[in-house]
Amino acid sequence: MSRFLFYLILVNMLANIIALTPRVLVAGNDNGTILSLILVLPVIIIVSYIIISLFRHFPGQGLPEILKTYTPKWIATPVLLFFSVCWYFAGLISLIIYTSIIIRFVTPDMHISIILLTFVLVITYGILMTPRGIFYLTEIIFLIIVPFIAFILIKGYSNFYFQWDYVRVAIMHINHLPDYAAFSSSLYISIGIANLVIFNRFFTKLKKPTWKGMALLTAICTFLLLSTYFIPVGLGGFDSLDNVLYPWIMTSDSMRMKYGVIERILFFFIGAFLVLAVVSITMLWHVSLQLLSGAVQFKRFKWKRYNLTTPFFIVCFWAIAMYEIATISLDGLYRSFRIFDEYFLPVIVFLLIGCLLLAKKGAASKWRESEK
Amino acid sequence: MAGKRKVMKNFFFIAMIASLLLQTGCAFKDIDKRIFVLAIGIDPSEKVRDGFKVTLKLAKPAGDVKQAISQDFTYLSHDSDSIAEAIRKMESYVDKKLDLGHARSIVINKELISKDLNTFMDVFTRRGDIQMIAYVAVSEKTAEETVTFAPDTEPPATIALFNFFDNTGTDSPYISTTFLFEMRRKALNKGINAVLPIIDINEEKKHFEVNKSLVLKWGGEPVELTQLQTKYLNSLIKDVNEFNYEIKEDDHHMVLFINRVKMKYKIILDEGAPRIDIYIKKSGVISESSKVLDNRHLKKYSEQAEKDVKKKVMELLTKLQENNVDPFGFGLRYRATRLSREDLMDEWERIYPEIKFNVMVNVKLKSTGAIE
Repeated sequence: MSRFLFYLILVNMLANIIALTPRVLVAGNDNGTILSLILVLPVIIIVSYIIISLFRHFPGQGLPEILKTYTPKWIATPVLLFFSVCWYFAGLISLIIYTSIIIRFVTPDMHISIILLTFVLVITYGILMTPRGIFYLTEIIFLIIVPFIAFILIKGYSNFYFQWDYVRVAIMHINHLPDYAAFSSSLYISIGIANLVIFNRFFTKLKKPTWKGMALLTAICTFLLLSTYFIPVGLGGFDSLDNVLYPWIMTSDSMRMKYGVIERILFFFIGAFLVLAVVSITMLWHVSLQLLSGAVQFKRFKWKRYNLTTPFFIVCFWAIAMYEIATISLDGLYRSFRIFDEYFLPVIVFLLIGCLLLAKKGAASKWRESEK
Repeated sequence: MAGKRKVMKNFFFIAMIASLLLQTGCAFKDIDKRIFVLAIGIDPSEKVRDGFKVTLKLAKPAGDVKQAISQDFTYLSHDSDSIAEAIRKMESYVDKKLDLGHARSIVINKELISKDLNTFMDVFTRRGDIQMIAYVAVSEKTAEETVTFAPDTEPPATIALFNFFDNTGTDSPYISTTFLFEMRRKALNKGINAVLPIIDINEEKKHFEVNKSLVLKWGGEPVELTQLQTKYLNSLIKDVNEFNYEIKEDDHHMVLFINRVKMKYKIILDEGAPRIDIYIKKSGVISESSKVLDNRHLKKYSEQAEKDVKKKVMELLTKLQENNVDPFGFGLRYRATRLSREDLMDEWERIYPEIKFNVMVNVKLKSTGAIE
């Protein structure tokens, strides 16, 4: 399996560790989080496998090309529009969360729009890159950041104050029915493979998923998913995390590097995850932008010989982000995050697989036609 | 297509560089415009009914630490009915920004401990800038006196209040270190109680004395542990690696130097009366004796030590049980080993006051020290 496939999944997973997912998991802690986590693992592996296998039939093509060639237009355009809006909101939610984390913990004196603007400028530069460029960027950042994250995770588990008793209390809640909110939000953090809808353009020769690759993927996903939940519980306690907004940030602040360069891991932690977040948002918005310009192209909207459709979309992206950051409350954000996970996510997954199957069928019949 | 992208990319690249011009300096306040709070003391207020008196220990900025003869701190205090309000008022007492990011010590007056902790501990976890690895302690005298007190051993640019607790300086088994996050999780979780160290100032006002501790009880009077009990508790729940034992038998007086302690326990309910089996393993050497010792009799000395340790541990456990507090977290372990049920904790609350302790001590003396 190509290592870039791993990046797609892992970036999404890691970037969401400090976002809202742990809060959803903790919120359901006496109500079946554990069983949801156990359930989500096979689902995620199977879904990833199916998506990779389906995209293998369309080497080097993104979803806009696939749908336009092999399915009727009345399916292609709405689907692409819907996906692009979903991807945009996924990126937007991350963006708002990270902006609010920065303003709460790092620079409380800075104006929120300036923080957002700084983010947005970097991300805009990123989303205009080619898939190849984004993958290489991801690889470099991944190689730099992952050791830090591994260090933080190991530090968490090996901490003297990490109490397995709290984790065991959490595990003992296995006798509750799975919690749908916990299930869907852990599905969301591990569904990074769906980014293939555009990033498949990079894979001109996508190999079949090997069992070794899948086993490795399963192991990494299990470890990260469980760590997302268990480390905060082990360090922050079981009953005491209920009203914590960012369980992972509190957890990282509870760790201490006695003889380290800085004693508080918090800043170290936020810094590392911020970089990953930028990569993750870049990926999401790149996908969104490409889907959008795949679905809609204003032919006459031109300045000299440049088509201004893409810049126009980018300006829209900025405007919505600016408006949202100024108006949304954390509660509103949390609620929209849950609505996204609980209602839109399953639709996205089924729609994506459905479309690909349809396109595959379309491709087969076309191939037969040309054969004749 | 490629040309367009290049123009766009260059545009954003220039925009990113140009955005630096918008930054009219550091968005952070410069260090000379900040004053760092090192410790926070909280007393009941004498002026405001049900209010608090908050004392802040501030580090005075100094050009050259080497030239300073004594330490340089200044103190602020204010009475108000809430802590956040008091801190806000004190911001108008200094010309700089009060920076709480370096506050490592929170000292609470003993009288406040039996009150509702939630009302004033809330602000410390709610504020993002206060470290979760700050030390929480109880003061025997007023918190103001403790915070403003400078012991004789304190050279410039160090703070004795930190050094007691951070295990880089003294490593005494009499000191219980409690971080803010730890106190929070133990206070809010069912089945475990937090332990706070008590800071006292000696009569001649020369130095601190930190050798007793307090077991918190949610909504009740805390239980004070004596010096010896604190030592035994710490030796069992903390990672203490050097501590002395005194054994007296007839006219023979011995001091053991223990460097490893391990404690394991098991709650047994289904064999007769409910009991907790506690296994304690200690190993060390003899560091003082009133008689000439024989290396061959190490086993005998070990047995003597075992008997003595067992008695002291039993005393401690009984005292804790009589007062219905549980710093070891037996209740938590009970929860951690049984499938979750709603009445699990009520059940434990019925069991705990009557449970029997079965302490098994294994002391392994390695040698009689450097001489026989």
